[in-house]
Amino acid sequence: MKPIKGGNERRKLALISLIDVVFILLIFFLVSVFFSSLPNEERKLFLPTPKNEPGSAQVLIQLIDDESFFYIDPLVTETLVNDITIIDNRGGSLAEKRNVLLRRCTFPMRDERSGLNNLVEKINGLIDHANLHPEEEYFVIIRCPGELPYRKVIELIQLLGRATYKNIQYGCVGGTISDIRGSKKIEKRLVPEEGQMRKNVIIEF
Amino acid sequence: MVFRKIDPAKDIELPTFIDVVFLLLIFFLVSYSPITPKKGQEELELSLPTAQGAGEVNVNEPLETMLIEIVPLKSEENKEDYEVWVLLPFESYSNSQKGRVTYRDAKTFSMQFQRTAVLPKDVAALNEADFLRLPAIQLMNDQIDSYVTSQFRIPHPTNRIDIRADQDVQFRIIDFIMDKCSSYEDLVPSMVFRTRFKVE
Amino acid sequence: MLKKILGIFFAVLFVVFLVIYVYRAVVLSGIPIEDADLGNIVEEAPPPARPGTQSLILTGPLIKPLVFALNMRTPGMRSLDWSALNDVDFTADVRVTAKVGEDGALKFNPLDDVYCPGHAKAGEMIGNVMRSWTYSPYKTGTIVFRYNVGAVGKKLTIDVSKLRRREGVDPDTPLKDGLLYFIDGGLKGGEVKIKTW
Repeated sequence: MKPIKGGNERRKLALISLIDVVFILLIFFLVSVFFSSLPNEERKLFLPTPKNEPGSAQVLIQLIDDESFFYIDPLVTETLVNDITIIDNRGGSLAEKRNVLLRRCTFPMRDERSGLNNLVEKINGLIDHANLHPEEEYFVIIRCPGELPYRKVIELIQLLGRATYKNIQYGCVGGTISDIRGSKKIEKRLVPEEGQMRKNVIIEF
Repeated sequence: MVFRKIDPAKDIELPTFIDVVFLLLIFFLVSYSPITPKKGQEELELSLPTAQGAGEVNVNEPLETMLIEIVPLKSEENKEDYEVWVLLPFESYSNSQKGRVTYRDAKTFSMQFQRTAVLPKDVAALNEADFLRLPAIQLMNDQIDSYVTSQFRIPHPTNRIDIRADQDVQFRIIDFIMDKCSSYEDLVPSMVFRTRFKVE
Repeated sequence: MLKKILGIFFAVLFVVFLVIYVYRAVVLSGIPIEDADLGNIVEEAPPPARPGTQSLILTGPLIKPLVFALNMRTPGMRSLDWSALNDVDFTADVRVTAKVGEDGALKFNPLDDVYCPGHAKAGEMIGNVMRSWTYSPYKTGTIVFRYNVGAVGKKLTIDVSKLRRREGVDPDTPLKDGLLYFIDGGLKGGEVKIKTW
């Protein structure tokens, strides 16, 4: 009788240490997952090269300097189309349109009241929108003046990459706010699409 | 009462032994810290290669494509300037079919064949002609020309050029490289930035 | 017994995994090592869109067309009971010439604008109901309703050709007509004609 009992105890003991090992393995994998996400490894960030053709985008981010930036998103575009319509109907000039464009779309980098980074807030808003509408694709053009460090662009791209459904694409070109300030043409264009209407704004340099 | 004699050598069981080994492994893993957090971090939680950047790269990594490196100059008198390295995934254009070389070898070959040049830190004030006359810009211009024409025959999504640049490099330099790539129409559809990200 | 079944189960499971593994090894041996590494493919996904440098075309949101129709949220809006109208006067022929105001309300004078020679009762009934109708405020102008209860074919004709886009409504947004009448019981869709010219 006794040897059998002893054998049972031995088996129980082995099982417990096995469970132990399994738990240790679990912890090991958890910790290793944590470590694999640590940034000691270099990552690759893809950026499409520009094309020598008109650039179509839903969102334009024109970096100006550390103090301010220029930003247009589809909602702003809609308002701009209305502004342009009013100016056109009045027979207004290009300078008037430029002024409206610059006034509407230039923002200070830091919000005076909240102290938040306005650009980051705008991009977060865009990401929220993109996450709510995974079926829609967004293309963001980032224009950056040559004197700024290129890190500014990479930072934005890193932010844009946070969209859950990866439905925000981006491209980056060189360009300054004076291109927009001195634009040769600012026009609205209406494009019918599936029984609905898309209102576009065209800025030619 | 019956006491069983315990034989210590017999009682070291394999699971217990594994247990201890794993514990040791975890201890070493956790105690190893690959990066030291910096004070006053950027709010965007991102870090690009910095002054020490070149030291942190994996020198044994085989290069997949042309890699342009823009790193701070090491010498004392021109501390503000950058040096540009054009690293090729092969020894030379005449020897381009031989297979990939590692980062370390590519660096040696670049030194040997003088595919490196000094680039001033501030290029914003230069006019276009002066900018294009800079030795580093000319080096990149010529090397990209040679590389693209010899290596990329048809447009393909994997045709690309890698860039590893110090985070403060002015966008004008990057813009120049991008414009250069886009001058080949669809031949070079993308570039790759080698970056280091901090994860929140 | 249970042990035996479990044993067989695990044995089968093991054999299945073994077969899958061997199959995988055979498949992988047939392709170059670079292609076998899935990580590479994911990394090098083509960037689908590239930015243009020449000018900027900023695309706005899709604008849904505005719909000129009865505003069903209007408090106190009543429907015209067609079968009741039939009961009152099955040969009724009533013409109502009304104006859609800036606010979308339907305005008409029950004496002058409701033309119903010989069918006064039906005219009154229709006029009473129609006074409660309000449209979405996108168009203004004259709208003419002709109720021909006894007709074969089109029993209701609505002439909207005199309606114009209200001033202040964005001229670039498409404007469509929706439901222009609120009638219950007995009137089929095919019996209504909307005259647009």
